[in-house]
Amino acid sequence: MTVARRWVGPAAAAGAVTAACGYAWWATSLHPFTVTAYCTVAGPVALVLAAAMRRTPGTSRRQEVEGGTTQAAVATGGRTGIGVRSAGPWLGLLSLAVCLEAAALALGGRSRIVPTASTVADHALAWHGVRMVLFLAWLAAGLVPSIRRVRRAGGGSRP
Amino acid sequence: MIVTAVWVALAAAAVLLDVLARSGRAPWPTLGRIGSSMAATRRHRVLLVLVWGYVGWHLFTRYTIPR
Repeated sequence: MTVARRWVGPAAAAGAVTAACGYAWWATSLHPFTVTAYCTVAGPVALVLAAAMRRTPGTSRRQEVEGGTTQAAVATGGRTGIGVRSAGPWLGLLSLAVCLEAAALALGGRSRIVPTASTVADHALAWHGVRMVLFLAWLAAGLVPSIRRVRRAGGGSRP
Repeated sequence: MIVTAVWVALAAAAVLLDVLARSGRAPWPTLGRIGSSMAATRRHRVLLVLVWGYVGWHLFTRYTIPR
């Protein structure tokens, strides 16, 4: 029983990763601006949106709407919120990116000298392998926190 | 070309910041922790999902291979 349990977790994880790789390969082999291409993105978004709509366990509807330190601690698994000072390096990086993007957009958005982030990304996305890796990263960025949250909610409701 | 290199450097810096935060050698939080903190309320979670969905839609269904 214990041995079976020990293998179910890694086997399920390996299966999920394989399925995600297959999905990413298929999704990134489609032509852009097609209905199927839109659906490959809309599917995961719908799933994550459904998970996001679920209430955090242990919070009332009012608390969920108003937010606050307690809910932040529940949502982050007991950790408290993050101050502006501690997130300084991230804010600095974000400010630089916003300034660069604003300058690129002011120059028309298709400038070869000052390209937007999208234009740079488009060059990288010309290769199927890069597209697949970026799609996987995008999927993971949305699905992994949602899966963790749903699992935590399931664990929290047990007596 | 220089600005393209700056974009790549910014992406690399973001990866480096996250790796340092995960190793515990830096005082700043990981991107995941910032995301969790921002997703404390349903409204914020939905907003984050919409931003994430926009990024996916913009990058993977509307990309145009440059000529």
